[in-house]
Amino acid sequence: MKSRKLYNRIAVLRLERGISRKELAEIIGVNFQTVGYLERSEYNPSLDLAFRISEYFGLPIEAIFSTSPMKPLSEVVFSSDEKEGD
Amino acid sequence: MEMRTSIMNRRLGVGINYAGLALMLILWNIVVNVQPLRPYVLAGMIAMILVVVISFILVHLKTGLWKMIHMKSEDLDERELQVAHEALRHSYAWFTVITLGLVLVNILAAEAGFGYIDSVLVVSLIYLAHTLPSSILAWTQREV
Repeated sequence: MKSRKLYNRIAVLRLERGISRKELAEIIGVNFQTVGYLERSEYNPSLDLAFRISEYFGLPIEAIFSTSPMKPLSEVVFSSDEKEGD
Repeated sequence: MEMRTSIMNRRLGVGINYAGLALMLILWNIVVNVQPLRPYVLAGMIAMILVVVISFILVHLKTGLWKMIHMKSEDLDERELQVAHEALRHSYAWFTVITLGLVLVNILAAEAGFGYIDSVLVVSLIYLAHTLPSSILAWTQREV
């Protein structure tokens, strides 16, 4: 069965925390090239790896991974601020 | 030290490696079947052996693909395990087709009094079996 493409925010979150692919790879226990494949959505992680990533970033899995293209974080934050203002 | 290469260079390397191997086999057949031995044919065969060895070092050893395919599964991460498994699966199928094709060609050539299954062909097939998985990785993987 062909699995669906998973979109993610790993690259943005990694840059936000100022760590390299190599550092993130060591933390989550994969090869640094695998981080590149994950960031480009060319590889769907296992549930275990997805949990390791979400635990490191301290975010729920659905904030990092999605089956549909993800909105930029700035847009998500801005639209939630607008809703609170209303 | 492992070397980072572009996919185009790796594909070119794989092509050169197997083309060198095929040419070496053809020249070997000429060496065995055509007497007297022509020095330039022998020189060509030695040159092809060098091409195979050098391209093997550049494509398989320097890129770390050989190491990846021969590593213990517990030393690979889940993506590497997946791609190694896929490469082994594809190489199994390719090796079967190529070997059957070569055997057929040799049977037909033997009918014409030319070509037979000898130790050089067997060694080449063992080399092919051993390098096919990492060649498939070299051909398909964007980043190695």
